[in-house]
Amino acid sequence: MIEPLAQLGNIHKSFAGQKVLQGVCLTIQVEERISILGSSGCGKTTLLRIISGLETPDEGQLFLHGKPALRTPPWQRGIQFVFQDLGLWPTRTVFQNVYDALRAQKRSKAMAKEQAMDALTCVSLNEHCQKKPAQLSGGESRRLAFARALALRPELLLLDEPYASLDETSKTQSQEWLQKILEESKTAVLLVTHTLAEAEQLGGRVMHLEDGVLS
Amino acid sequence: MPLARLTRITSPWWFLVLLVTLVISILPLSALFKPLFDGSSLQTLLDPRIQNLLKDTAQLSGTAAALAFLVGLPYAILVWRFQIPGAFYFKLCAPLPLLLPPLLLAQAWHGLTGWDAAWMTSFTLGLAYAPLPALLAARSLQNQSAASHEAALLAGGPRRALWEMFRTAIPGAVFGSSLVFIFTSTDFAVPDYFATVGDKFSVYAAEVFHQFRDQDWTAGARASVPLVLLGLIVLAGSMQVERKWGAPDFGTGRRAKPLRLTKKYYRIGATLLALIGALFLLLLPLSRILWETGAGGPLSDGTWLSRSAEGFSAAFNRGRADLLRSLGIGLAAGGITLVLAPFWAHKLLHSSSRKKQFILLFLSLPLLTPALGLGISAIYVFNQSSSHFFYSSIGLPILVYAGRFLPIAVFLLHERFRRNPPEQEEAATLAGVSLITRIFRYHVGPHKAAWLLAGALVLAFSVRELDLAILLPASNASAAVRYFNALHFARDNFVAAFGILMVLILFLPLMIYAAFHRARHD
Repeated sequence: MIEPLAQLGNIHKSFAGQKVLQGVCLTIQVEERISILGSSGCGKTTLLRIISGLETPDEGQLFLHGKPALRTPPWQRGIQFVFQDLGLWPTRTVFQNVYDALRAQKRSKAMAKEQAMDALTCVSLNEHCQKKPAQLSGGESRRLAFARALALRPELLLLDEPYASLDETSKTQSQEWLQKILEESKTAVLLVTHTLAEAEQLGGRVMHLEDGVLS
Repeated sequence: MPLARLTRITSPWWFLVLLVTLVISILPLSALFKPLFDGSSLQTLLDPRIQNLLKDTAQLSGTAAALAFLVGLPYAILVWRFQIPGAFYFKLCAPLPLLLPPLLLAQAWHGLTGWDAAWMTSFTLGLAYAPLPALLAARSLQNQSAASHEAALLAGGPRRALWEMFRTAIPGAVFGSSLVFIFTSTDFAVPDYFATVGDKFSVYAAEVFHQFRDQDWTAGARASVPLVLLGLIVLAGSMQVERKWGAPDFGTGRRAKPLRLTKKYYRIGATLLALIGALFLLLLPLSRILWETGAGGPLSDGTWLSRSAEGFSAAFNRGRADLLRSLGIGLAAGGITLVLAPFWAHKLLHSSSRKKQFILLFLSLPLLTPALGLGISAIYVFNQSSSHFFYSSIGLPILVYAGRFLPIAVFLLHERFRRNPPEQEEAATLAGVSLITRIFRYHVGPHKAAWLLAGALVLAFSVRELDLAILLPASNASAAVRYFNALHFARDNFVAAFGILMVLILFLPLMIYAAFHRARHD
């Protein structure tokens, strides 16, 4: 039997006495796509941050490939995150944003350069290599964030409302880009959003998070 | 009409602000313009002696700037981006050395090490101004978005995240170091002190002073122009660095928080490093001066405490009038900037990037000019029969100090104003609220403490200003000049005690601000 990619058991988290997550359990299979729907402030982002290791739960367990992973540093979990406000490195060019991430993962210079160009070509940003993130449009910035995350070939990609603040045209284009890239990669995806249409577009399981409880 | 256009409507108040700024910032400088534009000052550059002097000054200032960068940048990262015990106090230690008279630091470091010579000038001034790269790096680090930090952490772990912090902070630190270069290259008192107590050496600022004393004062004004040009070149270069490598972090959400060091020995190591930084920046030199208040030779009577008490008593009695005069001048200069700075900070908020750079350069001119050059120019402009009454009154130092230190207040307030949601003012503009109300209610209102701090900083910088105080007649009887004269006459308990009294006055506004700031956040 194949071990699930990730298993969350009875995750609890509070901030300043306010319960954000209450006993969340979730299993993510290899290459699976899951969308979590929920209103603003219901704990969606906190859940992603706990899975990625950027936040620690007050209580509960997390297993990656069947092994306890709560003490595993975030950068050793094989997980990448596309943040709601993207987290692009503003002082670096478009190319360097991807290249630096690959170099940080100990890729050789030549390989990092090749893979960065591949990733940027894949999202049609190869023409914008020398631009700074601030010079990109909203849609292009998002594609760069996808390219950087996917260039590292994570086993699990976490998407935190990736289409927020995009107009309809840019949103549709970004969704198409993402679908295209995901079809080619074997990455599992966990998307959090408050729009059912975005969840349906991704495909896979759709779950609801309400008052810190996942159903 | 688009909102951006609405905010550009010019108010008659603007003309008044511009006029007053021209009078306090540009008019005292105007004697430098003629030699700057007719090229007469540049002829002196053909003299090999002057060339060597400029080269030595550039080397000395370059070393000080490099030291300030090497101390300031890691200090900012340690203190602002890591959770270490006593972080609040380490942060407080960062701006304080800027308020200290550099001459006091020179006295302390000479006393501590016994060393002199030109390189001690670089060492002292490098540490005295290290807060500039530290504070500007800290500003960039505070603006780093949490997401960009976390993306670095996910991609390559702590090493990559640390590297990203350096990348974020370096442009600010480079800009701060270029300011260190400018201030160091124009400093007269510290090189003069080390040249007096040890081997003789000369810097360009001394040349300006000697030209002023030996010949007619226009020669002094002419002589200072190459230094202004050198400063402008360095500043323009560092602005390019900031434009090319610095970039606004446009993440809209959370800002990166200080990191918790999970391993105990990392935490201890980081705290020790921060402590060493604070010791060198502030605590060691201050302790030395404090010790000197009661120090005595083998034949001295009494205990350290009794000698120290005598020193403070003498400092209070003999220096009280000078301290009060300095405070009065500083208060008036601070008051003027309290009125002007919000207007300029607001103007910067609504200016394009190119226009913003122009305004900053325009406002910074009096600060970039060597204090001696500014003083000589002000004497030339105001020592006329029609303005002689003003020339010999305290009005002149008030006017010159307000103009010189205005950019500090503007810079601080602009940083605060940027934090206000623009929609607040836009709504007020649409409702027809006047410019003054918008500035003082919607921008100054939420940042009253910072506004008062800006005025207090101008006060502190006015009290510590020495080079200008030596030149302007009405400020000759000031605390800084008395300290300078006393130190050159004798290095006794009075000098140290008077220095400590000045330090207390200079630190007080920032300490009060920090105490209130902390109380509000606790």
